[in-house]
Amino acid sequence: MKDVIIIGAGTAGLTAAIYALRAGKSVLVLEQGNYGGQIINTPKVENYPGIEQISGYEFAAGLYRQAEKLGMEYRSEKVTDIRLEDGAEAREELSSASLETGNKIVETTEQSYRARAVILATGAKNRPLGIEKEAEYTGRGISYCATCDGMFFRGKKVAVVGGGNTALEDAAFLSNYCEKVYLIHRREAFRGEEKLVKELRKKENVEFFLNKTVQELEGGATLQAVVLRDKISGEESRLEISGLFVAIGQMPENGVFAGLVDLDENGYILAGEDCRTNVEGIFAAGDCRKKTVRQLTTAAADGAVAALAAAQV
Amino acid sequence: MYTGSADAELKNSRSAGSTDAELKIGGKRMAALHLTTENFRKEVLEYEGVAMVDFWASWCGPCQMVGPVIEEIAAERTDVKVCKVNVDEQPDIAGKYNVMSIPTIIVFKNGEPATVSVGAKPKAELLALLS
Repeated sequence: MKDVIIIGAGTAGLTAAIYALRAGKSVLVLEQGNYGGQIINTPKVENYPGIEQISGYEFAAGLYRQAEKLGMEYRSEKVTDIRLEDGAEAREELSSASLETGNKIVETTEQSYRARAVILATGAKNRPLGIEKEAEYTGRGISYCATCDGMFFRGKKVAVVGGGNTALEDAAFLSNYCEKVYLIHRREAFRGEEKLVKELRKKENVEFFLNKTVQELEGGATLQAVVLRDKISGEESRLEISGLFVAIGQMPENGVFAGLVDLDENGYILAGEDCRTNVEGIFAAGDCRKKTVRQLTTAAADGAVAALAAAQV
Repeated sequence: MYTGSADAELKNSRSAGSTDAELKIGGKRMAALHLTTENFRKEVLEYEGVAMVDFWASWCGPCQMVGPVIEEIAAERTDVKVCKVNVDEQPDIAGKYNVMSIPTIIVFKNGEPATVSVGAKPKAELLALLS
């Protein structure tokens, strides 16, 4: 039996662990991948107050060490279900005279755990295009991180898909190294900043492909071309590239909790700034929560808020 | 903004290399072997057995996550030759195996690439590549 089980070891989850441990609670953190969350892909973090510059990895490693020193129990296990303990289970586990109610059961691929409170800090992941062969070519021409993989495409032709700031920044970054950068966007207007668009228009090796979507991926062992479809004319065209950088936003992965907590139409957990879900004793923190600003600072803030509320359960 | 692989400041940050690991088995240090174009043929292509090769770079955050796990596998799995290729220093090896994202882990069996895994995976998944 734990006081608090935290699902996800990104910035929100590890901050929640630090706060819950400092509040004297026993904490188990469950993570299906590696700790750190999305920030480990960021080479330089320069907007965390009080820290002028740090690599995303150093930041995440620091969070982990801090939680570990405070006594965090950490397990690399994938959560398959969360449910409320029923009366019979509670009686079975009963060791004292008082019957505790409201405990949560967290099932993983390995075993099941009991906790007074659960904090969901499952984050978000890069949204895939959702077309055929995408998984096959990931790491073989398709990338979701220009700053991570851009150097492998030095002097080559690449394309960026997306219309937000990330896509615009990726195109600008890649234009410094690549022979040619095609920016593919499904609309006429960009969601990202006008200033970034203007800068890109000035670059000789950047070409815009607007009102177009990526229909097909072609290649052998590696990606060689994409087939685009014009949304207005319906015409298809083929573009030879070695790399395709996908920057079409993030998506949450909360499907496994859908039967328990309320989600919005995009799959984000419905919880307010107090991080409370519709289920007593279950909280949501960080990018997995429906919110307007998704930054390191807001993830950390959610972690603190959720942990201090969970400590009261 | 990040300005490329030649960023000395980042290169000086914590390395995922074997210097972190002080793992010893039976008094013998079992750390991952760092490969270059000079020893790649002998250590991997001509090796009769299973070799696990981690393609990494010092500026890559996910690689730094995987680095210590690779060292653990090197220490625990004495039946596997665990190696690392720094893609900045050895671009020819990375290019030959179409490495376009790091970390990429390739398991070679008797010198032939058998399994390829892209991205930072937890230890259990990396061990599963060997089975």
